Amino acid sequence: MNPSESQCPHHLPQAEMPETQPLVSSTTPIKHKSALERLFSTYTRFRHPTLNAIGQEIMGSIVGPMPVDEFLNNFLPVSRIPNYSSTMTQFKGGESFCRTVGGTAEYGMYQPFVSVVCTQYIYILISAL
Amino acid sequence: MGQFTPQLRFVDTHARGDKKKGYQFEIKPDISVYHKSLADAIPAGCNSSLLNMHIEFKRLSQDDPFLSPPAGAPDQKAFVQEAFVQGAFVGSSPTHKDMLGQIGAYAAAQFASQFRTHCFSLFIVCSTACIIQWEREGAIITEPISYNVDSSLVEFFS
Repeated sequence: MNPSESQCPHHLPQAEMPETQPLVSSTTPIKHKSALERLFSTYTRFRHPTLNAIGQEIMGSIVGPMPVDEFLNNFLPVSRIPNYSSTMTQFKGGESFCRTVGGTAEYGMYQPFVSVVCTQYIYILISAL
Repeated sequence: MGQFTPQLRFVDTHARGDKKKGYQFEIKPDISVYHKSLADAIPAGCNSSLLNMHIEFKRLSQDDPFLSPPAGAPDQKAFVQEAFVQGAFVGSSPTHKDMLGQIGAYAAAQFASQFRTHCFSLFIVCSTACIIQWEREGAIITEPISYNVDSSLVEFFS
């Protein structure tokens, strides 16, 4: 067992990055805060080794980039959706997702994004975090 | 506003994951999307067996494992050339592999618990989004969509 597993019960065992690899940036030092240890955070210094292994395995099975119009026409053709009525008329280019794009933190992007695309949004606050 | 996806329900699951999917870690997509037909069965967290699709957010572009730039970017040719030289448009750095592994694990958990031939997910990095169609043998990624100005993402949801 990795020593870090027993020392840090609240976090998953983390892989150590090779010394030759830049952690996040080669120029800006990263302050060691609790956010760095949060799983799936924007900071990628501490990640579960399984995730890296999965990424390594599927790298060769990813194809793209596919043009969006072609993608939608091939995989989601609206002609095959019965009684389809588009909701695109409500979209306002440059305005609809301003709050999402302008969010300063990843957590701040969730609610603005979903409030635009869906009226039914369930937000669960976990006090443990 | 808020009417683009009348058939779907969105649940914030960044802190309430699915713990029973065979991995040592939780399946915790930022947003889990369920079909409205589930009604009261829609869980308060992530449930891979009921999941319709997942949405993963990242704020920093360095977390984006897909090397294609947004349409119209000045250095688009450089990106394309790099992807050509590498034989793929997926970055090979540890960060890129981690990121790819994360969204791949979510899709794998969904496939493992549902009888699906394919599923979709959305990967959002700051102002761009990629739609991903996952299949059991790989995945197809769209070009980055500048979703605040391009209606393609709304078309996808509608």
